[in-house]
Amino acid sequence: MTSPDERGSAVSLAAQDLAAQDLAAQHGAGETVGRVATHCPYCALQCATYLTPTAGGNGSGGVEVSGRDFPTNRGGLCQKGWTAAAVLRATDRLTTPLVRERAADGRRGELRPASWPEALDVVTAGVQAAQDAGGPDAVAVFGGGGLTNEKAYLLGMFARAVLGTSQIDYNGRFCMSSAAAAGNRAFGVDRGLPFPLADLGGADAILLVGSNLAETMPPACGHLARARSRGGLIVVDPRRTATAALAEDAGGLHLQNTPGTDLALMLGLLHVVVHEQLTDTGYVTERTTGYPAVVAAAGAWWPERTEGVTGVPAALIRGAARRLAAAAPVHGGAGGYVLTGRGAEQHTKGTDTVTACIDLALALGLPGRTGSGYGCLTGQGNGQGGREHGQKADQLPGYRHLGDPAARAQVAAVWGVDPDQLPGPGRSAVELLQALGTPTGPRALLVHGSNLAVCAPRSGAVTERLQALELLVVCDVVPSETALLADVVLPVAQWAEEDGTMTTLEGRVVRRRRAVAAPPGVRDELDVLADLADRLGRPGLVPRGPRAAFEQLARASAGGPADYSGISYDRIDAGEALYWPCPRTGPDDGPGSPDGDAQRHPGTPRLFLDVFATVDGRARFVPVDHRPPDDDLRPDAPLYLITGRVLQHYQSGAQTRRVPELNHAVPGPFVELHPDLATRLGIEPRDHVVVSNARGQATVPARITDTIRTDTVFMPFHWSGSGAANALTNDALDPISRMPELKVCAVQLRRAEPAPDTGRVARTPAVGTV
Amino acid sequence: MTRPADDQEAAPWRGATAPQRVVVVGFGMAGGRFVDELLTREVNGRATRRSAVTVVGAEPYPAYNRVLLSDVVAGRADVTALGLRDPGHHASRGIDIRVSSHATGLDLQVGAVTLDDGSRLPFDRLLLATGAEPVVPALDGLDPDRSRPAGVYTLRTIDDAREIVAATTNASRAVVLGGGPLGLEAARGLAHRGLAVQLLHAGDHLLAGVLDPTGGIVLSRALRRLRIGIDVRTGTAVTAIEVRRGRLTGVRLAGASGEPDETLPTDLLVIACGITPRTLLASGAGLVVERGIVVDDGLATADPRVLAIGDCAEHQGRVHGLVAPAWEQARIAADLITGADPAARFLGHRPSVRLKAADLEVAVIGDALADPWSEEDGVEVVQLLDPGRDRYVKAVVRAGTVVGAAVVGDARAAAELRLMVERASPAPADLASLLLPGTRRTDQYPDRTDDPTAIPDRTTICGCHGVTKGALVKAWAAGARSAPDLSSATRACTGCGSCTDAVAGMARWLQRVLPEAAPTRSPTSPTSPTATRKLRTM
Repeated sequence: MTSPDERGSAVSLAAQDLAAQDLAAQHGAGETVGRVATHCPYCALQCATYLTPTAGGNGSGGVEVSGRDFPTNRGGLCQKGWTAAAVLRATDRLTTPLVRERAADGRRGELRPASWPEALDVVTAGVQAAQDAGGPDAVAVFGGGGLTNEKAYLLGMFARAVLGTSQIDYNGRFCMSSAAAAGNRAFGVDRGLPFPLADLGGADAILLVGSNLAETMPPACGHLARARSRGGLIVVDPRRTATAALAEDAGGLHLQNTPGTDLALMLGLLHVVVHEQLTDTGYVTERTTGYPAVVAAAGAWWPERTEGVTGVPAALIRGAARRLAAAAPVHGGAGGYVLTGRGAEQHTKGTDTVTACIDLALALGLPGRTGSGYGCLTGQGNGQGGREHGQKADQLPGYRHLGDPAARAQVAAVWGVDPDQLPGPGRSAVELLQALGTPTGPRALLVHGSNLAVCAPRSGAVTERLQALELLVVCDVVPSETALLADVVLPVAQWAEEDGTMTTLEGRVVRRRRAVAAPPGVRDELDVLADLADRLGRPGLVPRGPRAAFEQLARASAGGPADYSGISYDRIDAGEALYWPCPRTGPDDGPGSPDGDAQRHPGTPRLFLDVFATVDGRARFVPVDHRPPDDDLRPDAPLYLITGRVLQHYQSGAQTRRVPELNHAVPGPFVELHPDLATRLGIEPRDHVVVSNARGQATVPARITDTIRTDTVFMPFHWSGSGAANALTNDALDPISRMPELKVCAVQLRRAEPAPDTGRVARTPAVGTV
Repeated sequence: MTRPADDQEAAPWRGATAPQRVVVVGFGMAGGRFVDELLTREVNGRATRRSAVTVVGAEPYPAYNRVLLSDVVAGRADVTALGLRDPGHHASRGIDIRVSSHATGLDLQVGAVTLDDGSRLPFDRLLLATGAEPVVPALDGLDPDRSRPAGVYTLRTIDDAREIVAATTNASRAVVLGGGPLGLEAARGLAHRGLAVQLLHAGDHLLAGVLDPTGGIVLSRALRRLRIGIDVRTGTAVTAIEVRRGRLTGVRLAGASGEPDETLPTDLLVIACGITPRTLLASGAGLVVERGIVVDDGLATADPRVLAIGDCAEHQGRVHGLVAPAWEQARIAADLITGADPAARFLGHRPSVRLKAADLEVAVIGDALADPWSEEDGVEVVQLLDPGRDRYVKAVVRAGTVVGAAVVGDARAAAELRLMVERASPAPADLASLLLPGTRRTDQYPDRTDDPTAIPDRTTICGCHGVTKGALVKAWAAGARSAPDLSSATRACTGCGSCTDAVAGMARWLQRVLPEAAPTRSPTSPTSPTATRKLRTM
C-alpha cells in the first residue's frame, strides 16, 4: 500500500516533470522539447505517461509513450497505453472537413472534402432549418465519456444556452448511469471510487462484481495484490476471465454465475451476512437508515434458493460472504471493498444490482471508512468528469439537477443567460436515439466523442435512425463507422494534441497536456463549438480555449456535489492531488489565484468519512429484488450472449483497430463458447458461427474454451459490420438509470456454411480524402 | 418532460368506484407473498382493479420465512430476522392484518369468511393460503387430541423452532422421525448443536420417493462419515413413545421379525413425517377437496371467486409443499385478482429437493427416479457413483432434454444440474459431461512457473502485453540477465504486475539452463543460438 507520504513524494516527482513540460510549453505548440507529462488516452484509470518526442519526429504522432510514476498506475501501462502514439499516426486520420452531397430529391450522395467555412455553413444552415421546422428540440447533441471536462462542460452549455435544446445525452448512459443512480440514492452523491485507488492495497478482501480488471485496466491490478495473496479476491463473472483466474490461482473465489443473476447473488451474500449475524450493527445504527427492509428483502434469498437461480453453489455463496465479512473492520479485518463494473451495471436491473452491492457493503460497515468501501470502476477515459458537467439529459455542471431552480439560476448567471430560457430534462441516450428522425424526434444530431453506430445497443436500428436524420454532424479523429454515416464530418484534435482536464475513476482531476501539434486542417472541438455559437447568433457566449472553459466550469460547479470551484490548472500543474469536491474557500483561491495560500481547500480524497451526502448524513439501505433479464432464454434463443472487452481494444475500436500492434494481437471479432456446446452444435475451432436473434445477427469465428459456462457465449463489442456484437444486444432500459441491457440477451447459434467474410473491419476505407 | 417512465400515468382504477374486497386466509409464505405481489402491481400501475385487502393469519406473527426454520435449529439463521417484510410495511400500505386469528367459517352464498372472534369479512375475491400442518403418526403415548408431552416436537412454526432450540440446551440425545428433507435438515441441525441424533426412517433408504436407492445409500454413508453423531436407521417402525411424568424418555421400535421391541432412550423427538394440506375451511364450504383444495390452471377452486395457492392447493393431482411453486402461484394469483394479466396461468412445477444442511450437498430435481436400464424410447440415464468420496451424480435425459437429476456430494454438479433441469436444457453430445459440469479440459492460464522447460514457446506469460515465453527467451538471448532486464526489454510485468513472479522464475530458470551465458551483462559474450533453440520445446 502506498502511504500518504509516498504519495507525497510521487507528487513532488510529478511537479518536477511538469517543470520540463512548462519549459516545453514556452516553446509553443509543435516545438516540444523534452518530455511532456500527461495521461493515457484510453480508460478511466488515466495512467500517467510521458510523451517524448522521437528523433526528428516533430508534428503528428512523433512521440514515444512511457509510463510515469503515479499512485494509480505506479509507472505501469497496458499494451494499449504503450502503443497509444500509433493512434496519432493513423494513416486515415481526418484532416479536412467532409460534406455529403444531397440530391434534389434528398437522396444521399458521397462525402467530399470541404473547407471549414463551408462545412460550418452547412451545419449552421442545417441546424437553423431543423429548428425552424421543429423548434429548439429538433436539434440534438450526443456526447461522450472520453471527452475532456472542458468539452463535456461546453457541450452541455452549447446545447442548452446556444441551441436551447433539451435533447442532449451521451454514451456514458451506456456505462455509468446505473452505478451513478445507485450511488446517488444510497450516498447522496456519485463518485466512482469515493477513495483513492491505492487504498485497495491495504484490504484483506475485495469483491469484484462484473469487472474484468486484469484485462480492462491491467495496471490497476497491482492494488489487489495484498487481498489476492490472502485469498481475499472474490470475482463474480460468468467467464473465468483473467481476473477470475487471478483470484482462483491465489486461493480466492470465482463465483461463475449464469448471466443476469448478479442481483440474486448479492442478495444471497447479504442473506448470509444477516443470518450469520455478521452485520456491523454499531455502524448500521449510527450511519445508516433502512436496514430492516433490506433484512426482509435478503431474507428471501437463502443460499440454496440463490443457487437455483445463479448456478453458484450454496456453499460457495456462504464462503464468499464469510470471507468478505472477515475483512470488515467490525470483525477485526484490515478492510474490505465491494467494487462493481459494467458486467453488473449494464442491465435493465443495473441500478438495483449496484444497490444490492451497496447494501452488502453497508451491512458490513464498509463505506465511509478509511481502508474499506464500495466503489464503481468507471470505464471511459473521462467517464467520471463526463458525467458531472452537463452532458447528461437532466444535469447541470457540478452534478446538479436541471430541475433544481437554484442550480438553474446559478448556472444561467455564469453563462449570462436567462434561467427561464434553459430547457428542462430531455430524453436519455437510447430514447434519444430511438426518436431520431421520427415525427416527434430530433431532425438533426451533433455527435462528439462517440461511435454510436458501433457502441449503442441494437446497432442495426441505431444506424437506421441516424440515416433518417436531415442532418448528422460528427466530430471525429478518424473516419469512424458513425462519421461515415454523417452529412458533415469535422476533423478534430485528439488527446496528445490538446490541453484539458480529465477526472479519473477515483475522482481526481488530472491534466491532459498537449505534446504535439494537430495536423494541419484539424481543429480543436472547443473552437468548433465557439465558432458554431458565433454563427448561431450567440457570439462570444462560449469561452475560447481549455483554460477559459475550465475556469468557467469551475465557477458553474460551485456549490454542487461535484464542486470544482477550488481547482485550477495552476494547482494541478503544481503537483497537487485534487479530488472533488474541492470548493473555493475564499476570494484568493479560485482559478487563477496566486499560489501558496495554505487556506485553500485540499480536495477530498475520501468521501463520507464523517457523513454521507444525504439530507440526514446517513447512508440509505434500499430494498431490492431480483428479476430475470428482459430478453431471457426461450426455445428459439436458448443461449445467453454476454459482451465485453478484450485487453487490446477499447470501446468501439475506432482508435485501437488502427494500432498495428493491437490489431495484430486481436485482429477481429470472435465468439467464445464452451467445448460441450461446440460439440453439440458441430462447431470446430475457428469455424464461423452465426449468432442471431430477432434484432440482428453476427457471423464470427469460434473460440472454444471451457472458461465460459455452457449456457453462455461471449463476444467482444469492438467491431462493426458482420462482426458487430451490438447488432444483437437489447435496448430495453433500466427504469431508473435508463441504462440499456448491453450485457445479456438471448441468442441462437449455428455453424455458418460456407465460411463467409469474417467481418474483420479493422480499417474502414479512407473516403478518398486523406 | 419526455421520459415516459417519469410520467406517473394514472392507473385505470384511480378515482373509479369502490375497490374490490380481497380476503386472504393464511399469512404464511404463500399468503404473504401474494400480498406483496398485489401491492407491487398497484405501485407499478399494472393493476387494473383496486383492492381493499384483509389478511387473516393464525400465527401471532406476520408472514415469515418458514424455509429457514431448520437453519434456526442448526444455528445458522437468525430467528429475529425471519420476517419477509419489515415490520409495519403492510399496515403502512393500507392492508388490514389480523394475526392470531382463525377463519372458522366460509359462506359462499353470501361471500364472507367468519373469524373465531365472531367477525365476518365479506369478500369479492377470496384467496385461500391456509397452508399445511405436520403429519403426526399414530403412536402409543401420543394422543392427537391432547397436548403433546414435553420433548416431542414438530418443526413447522417459529414457535416450534424456538422450543426445539430451547430444549437442546438440556438434552444430549435426540430422535428425528422421518428421513425426508426436513428430517435430514433437523438431524443435521441438532447434531450441530452437539446432540447425539438417531434418524429413523420407515422407508428403505433416505429421501425415498424422490431419490433412488443408490443415492439414498450414498447419502447414508456420507452422513455416517461426517462423524457428527448422526446414526441413520432405515426400515424402522416406530410404535410408541415412552413418557415419564409428562416428559418424553424414549421411542419404541417394533422389532424385526421375531425380535423383541427395542426402546431408544432420548430427550427429544422431532417428528418430520411430511405435511397434510389444511382444507377444513374449503371442504366445509363445499369446495372440491381431494388431498388439497383442487384448483385449475387459473388457481380457481370450484367457486371461481375463490382461489387457492401454496401448500393447501392441489393442482393436477399434486400438492407441491415447496416454496418455489407457492411463490409462482402467488404471482399468478396477483396477476389474476388485480387484473394485471388475466391470461396468467399456473402450468405445474418440477418437483425438487435441495437439502439445506452443512456439508451435505444433496439435490434432486425433476424426474430423477428413472431406471438406468430403462428401455423406454428416448430415455437415457447417466450416473457417476464414487463411493470413496460419497459422491453420486445422476442425470436423466428424455428426447434429448435434461429432465431430471440427482446429486449427492457434489456442490457444483448440484448447482449446474438444477439450472439445466429447470430450463429443460438440451443434453450435450456426450452425456458424461453432465456429471462433472465445470470441469476444465483446457486451461488458458497454465501454471507458469512449475517447470518452464515444459511450457510451449507460444504460451503467454504477460497477458497485459502479450509477452510469450518465446519472447522472454529471445530477450535473454539478446542480453537480458535479470527479471528487470526481461521486463524492460519486453514490457512484461509493467501492466497488472501479476506475472512478476513468473518472470522472476523464468529469469532464474534461464540463468540455470543457459550455462554459457555469463551471469552479468556482457556485450562480448554472445549467446549461443543453439542454446536458445534448445529451450524451445514446442
